[in-house]
Amino acid sequence: MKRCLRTICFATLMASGALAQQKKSEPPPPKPQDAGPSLEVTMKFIQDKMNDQGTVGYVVTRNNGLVFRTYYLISDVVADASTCTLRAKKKTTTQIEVPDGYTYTEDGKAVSGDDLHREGVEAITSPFKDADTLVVESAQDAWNRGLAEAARPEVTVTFTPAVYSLTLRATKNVFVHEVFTKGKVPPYNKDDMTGKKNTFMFRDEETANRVAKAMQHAVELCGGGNKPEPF
Amino acid sequence: MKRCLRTICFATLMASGVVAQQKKSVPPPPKPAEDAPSLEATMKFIQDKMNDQGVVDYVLKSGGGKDAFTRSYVLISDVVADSSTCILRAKKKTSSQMEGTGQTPISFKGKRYNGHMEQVDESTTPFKVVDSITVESAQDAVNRQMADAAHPEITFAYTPAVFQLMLKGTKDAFSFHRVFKLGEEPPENSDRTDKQNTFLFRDEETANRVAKAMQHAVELCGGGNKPEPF
Repeated sequence: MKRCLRTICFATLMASGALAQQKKSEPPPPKPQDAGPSLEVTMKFIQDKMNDQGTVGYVVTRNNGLVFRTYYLISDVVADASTCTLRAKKKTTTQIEVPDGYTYTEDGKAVSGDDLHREGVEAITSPFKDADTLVVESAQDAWNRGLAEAARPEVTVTFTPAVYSLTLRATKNVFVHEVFTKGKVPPYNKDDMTGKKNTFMFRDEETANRVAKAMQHAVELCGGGNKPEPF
Repeated sequence: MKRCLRTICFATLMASGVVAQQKKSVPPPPKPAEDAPSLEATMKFIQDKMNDQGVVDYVLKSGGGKDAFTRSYVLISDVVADSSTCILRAKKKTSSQMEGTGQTPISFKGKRYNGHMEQVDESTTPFKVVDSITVESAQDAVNRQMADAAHPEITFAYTPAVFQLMLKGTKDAFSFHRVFKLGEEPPENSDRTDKQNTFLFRDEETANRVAKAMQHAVELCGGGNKPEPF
């Protein structure tokens, strides 16, 4: 599957930076006349597209026959132009289906019955000014690469139907708050955590790419993105 | 088997109801030429073609099912395509009978019934809020919806092939009044609004011609895709 790497470059910044290093100072170049949609329009587009998607259903099948039937919903998205921050809720409901004769284990313990049902709700906050790169790729490719990079290349998964992940990587940790439910155990709040990446799933690649393009533009307008490095 | 019967019922309803994403979009018509049909002529064409179709029969069978199947009859009637308000009104009656279940009891949403279901939807579709119009085989639509609902292992076959025309709106502006009757149960009335409305056609050519006319009507009524920033 096509892997679409979107690296955010700031030609304008770099160009003005290069000019600044020159001995003979010159006035900065004029702002391009067509700098694209405003931050407000861009943030609204991101917010609307993410809120409008609805539940994304898919089945993840491991090569040993284990099935993760998954329903994923992005909601309560607020893309705030005044603070350059994206807030969203991600709810993932998963039913693990274990093939006959197989024991599913987690941390060395067998898991069965109600405990095979999971529900996680994450409330995330992503400041665009700290965003570094945006990547859209098939969730299957992303997951299989993650397994290989975790020294488990013998474990592979297939996603049916195909779904697409949009990953925002940040230069600093971003805030995540998660409420997790396993089986009949009452929901509990996981410790608030921070991480350098945030992933959203999309039903179709086109929408994922359009939202990524809008996020890329928002990151640029918010002053984030790749900064030049010496090597 | 029991789950299969339930899912066949579900798919029967879906065939006449809600289907998510579409693959095959009807291309937008070129800008109306001088001799392009007027709104009145376009609405009359839509109305006549939909009223003239008659009953569309088909059998729906689950790929994983054994002998059970659903025999369905769909009739679009009382279509009024009003050019003065740019609104399409139509009645859609779907009768279905589940057969071949043997001794297995038939149930829908936990209710046992004799396998007969009848549903009449009166819909109102304002063309000015229509965003996209698509035509595809009903089988492809239902199977994709099952996959999108995390059930790719459940598939359905339509015999003969029937085609679905779907209108999608920018907001929940399509209204529906439904009378639903399950077996010998008393009929249930409900009202709802939705972002989409579907009509079934016997043949793809008619579905495409009506879709083309609807696309033209939508344009004349001021609806259709609006440009987006990305």
